Amino acid sequence: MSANQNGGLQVSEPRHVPAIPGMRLGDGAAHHSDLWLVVPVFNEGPKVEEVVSDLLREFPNVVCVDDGSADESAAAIGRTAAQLIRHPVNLGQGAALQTGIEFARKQAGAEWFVTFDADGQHQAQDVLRMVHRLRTEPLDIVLGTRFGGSQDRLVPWTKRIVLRTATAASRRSRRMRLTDSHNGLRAFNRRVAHELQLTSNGMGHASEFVELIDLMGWRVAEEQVTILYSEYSMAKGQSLLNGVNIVFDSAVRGSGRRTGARR
Amino acid sequence: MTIIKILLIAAALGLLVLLVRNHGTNRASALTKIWLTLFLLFAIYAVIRPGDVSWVAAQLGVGRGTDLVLYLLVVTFGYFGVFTYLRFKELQLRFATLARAFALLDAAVRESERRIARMGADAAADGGPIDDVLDERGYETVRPALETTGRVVEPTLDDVDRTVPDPQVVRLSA
Repeated sequence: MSANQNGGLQVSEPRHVPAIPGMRLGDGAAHHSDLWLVVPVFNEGPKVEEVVSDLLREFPNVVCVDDGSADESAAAIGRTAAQLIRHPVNLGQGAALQTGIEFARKQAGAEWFVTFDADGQHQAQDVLRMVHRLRTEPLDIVLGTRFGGSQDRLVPWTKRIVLRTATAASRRSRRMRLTDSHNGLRAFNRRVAHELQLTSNGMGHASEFVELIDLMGWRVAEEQVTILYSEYSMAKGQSLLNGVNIVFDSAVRGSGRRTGARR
Repeated sequence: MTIIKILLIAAALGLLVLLVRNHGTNRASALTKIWLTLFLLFAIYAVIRPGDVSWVAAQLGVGRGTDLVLYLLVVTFGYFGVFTYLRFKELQLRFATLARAFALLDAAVRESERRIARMGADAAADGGPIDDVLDERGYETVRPALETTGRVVEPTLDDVDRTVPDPQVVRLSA
């Protein structure tokens, strides 16, 4: 697959998106004042300003959690109108998400929450569709998935193996018929935001999210989303070793829960 | 008694003294102490009468006493590793909670600073004096209590927050 065709981006063919009022791009900020986007940021200096500025064109409320970046990420966010929270030290993506959500859920009028990656792989258009589903269907949380559609073949094969394994290794994911537990794009309501208590700081938080959905009985659905694999985001992606970490952490956490160590 | 025996017994006794001197209050540490005391007493006994350990090893179907000690050491080390890992995870969680509280507070402070600076700019645009409200960095000037009351107030014990929970009770629910 030629990676440089589109300036380093591999883009899927445009999918048909039904015209639903309130979910067109360009409708502007007024429609989404009850929506908060949480963007965990760790050393995304070259990319984050552009990503956040793009988001702010559609959504008025964006909170970036700078997870102790060593580069100019914080300054780049500072040039935008996004809220900036800075971890004094690096704590991991899970911790950054928890911080951002705790901040967002305290904001007046916050009804819907979206987690969004800072490296530019997610699309505002997908956020609109996911939030629209939350608003109109009896759901607590909508997870983005990159599998099941025409995008399948666009996922690099090493990544596909890691993600499939991580998903299949979890009994819960299988039972809940989730196809992509490690997608960073999620949309959820107040209930989830208030009950969410991520304890794993690193990348294990994605499996933990799935476990919490099961334990708390949140009503869940998947929505197909487009992931743009730029060379930049591929270099930062999850390695095979990380997959081992995720499975191991998940097992340890599971035994902790059974003995009631966690409330 | 050979020199090595004297050294080993001295080391075991030293550990015992350290253990007894570092007294905690809660039950978990009491149990740990009982176990460790028994373990150290066994160690001293094994140094003095290694033949008895060999007898126990033979009863359990292990060749020599040294092998039995080695196996026990491996198992103990395993337990130690797992315990340390879990303890480390718990500490990490508390550390994250602490750092998060700091980050949220920091964001709130910066937000209010921004608001005050904006207020100051608005006041300046209106032509009003702002010097009595804001210093050069945009902070709100707060007169120290000494100036207004004319006496220094010493903090008393009642001002100390004593609601800090016992760390052993907090567990992972923090």
